[in-house]
Amino acid sequence: MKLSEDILNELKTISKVVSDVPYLNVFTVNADYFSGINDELKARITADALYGSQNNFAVPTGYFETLSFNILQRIKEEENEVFTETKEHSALIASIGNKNIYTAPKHYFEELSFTTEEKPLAKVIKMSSARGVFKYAVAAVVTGLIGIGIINIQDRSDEKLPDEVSIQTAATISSANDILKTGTFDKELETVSDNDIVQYLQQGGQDVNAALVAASTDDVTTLPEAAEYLLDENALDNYLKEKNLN
Amino acid sequence: MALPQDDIELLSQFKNEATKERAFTAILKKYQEKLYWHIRRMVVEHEDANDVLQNMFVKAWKGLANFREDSQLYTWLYRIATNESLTFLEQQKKRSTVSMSDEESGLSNKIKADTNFDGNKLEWKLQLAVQKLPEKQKAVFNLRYFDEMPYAEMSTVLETSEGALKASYHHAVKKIEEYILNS
Repeated sequence: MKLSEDILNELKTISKVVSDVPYLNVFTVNADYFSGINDELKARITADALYGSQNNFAVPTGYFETLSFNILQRIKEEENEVFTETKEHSALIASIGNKNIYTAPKHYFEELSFTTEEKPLAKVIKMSSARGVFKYAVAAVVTGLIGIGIINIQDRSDEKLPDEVSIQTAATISSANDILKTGTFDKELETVSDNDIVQYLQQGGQDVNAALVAASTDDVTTLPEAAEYLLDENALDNYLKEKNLN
Repeated sequence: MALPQDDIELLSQFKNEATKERAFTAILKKYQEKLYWHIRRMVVEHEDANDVLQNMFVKAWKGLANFREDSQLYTWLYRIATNESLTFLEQQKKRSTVSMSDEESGLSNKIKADTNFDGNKLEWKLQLAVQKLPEKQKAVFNLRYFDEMPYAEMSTVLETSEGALKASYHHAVKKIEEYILNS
């Protein structure tokens, strides 16, 4: 290794000291470095040509080859997180696992939404307030009539009744028994008109208005307060008028 | 200055997809050692020199198709190598939390850590002195002293006028002389 004449002469004009320094390469490198660098460079250039030329952001070599594996690995790790935590507390319980031992009826979850969302509502029968008053009055009358009828029949069991009356009474009792057995009193009551009930009460010599007032006063919350009677002498009349009973 | 005939042929082959890789391998083999030593003298350690060399050749691969044949291939390669080396040193400096003087001594320490280092020998003293130079001045000195590059070509490599390069080289030699005399 020798410095060329031009460079040496130039150097001598600047510094005699530096020109006298032995012209040697002090650094060394492995003998096979330059023979191996070609393959290394080729690999880098190929990888760069494949991934680097169209994207400003670089990824480590082999990143995409191992990407799916790395993602699956992470999923598994997260799935095992509960297992690892449980194992720290109890190896036995962790070994049992968390498999669900319970089963649901077939198609349960498919039908669940229908059952919760589209279940038909029960029919609501609205009753007017007047009907409510009559209901109790009629119930009391009907019960009384049935009771009286039964007592009369028992008391007069030795008397001979006309056939027509006997058959009609027996039919009434049978019908009443059916109503009581089947619990369809309300339903049957719906079929009776207000006029029929009033007419029936009048035929039986009942004071219809008194019966209605008595029935209405069962609902104590609707009655005027005690003080209202003192302040207004028409309090009771107004109440009856309001209830359409005056 | 006209391109050497073999460089013209290699560049022609590089533009052909079928012979591209073979041509680049030939370019590598032709210039890799010179470029390696140039880089090595700049960054000192082999591992760093290897990284910089590979980076510069990757850039050469990308840019060679657009290489204008009005300049020398080897000066173009030297320019990439020098820029990559300077960039590397700049990055090292930014990463380091130590001051500039400590960074210089860091390079000096790398030289002293070399298994063949002998502080009594002038050639090693010269290398220690070179590491004290500002980076651009270090490049000028190395290109002229070790690579014996003409100023005209160096001007292309460093994109600096020949006069400025001569002045820079002069200052660099004086600083090295001073270091050798005082160490």
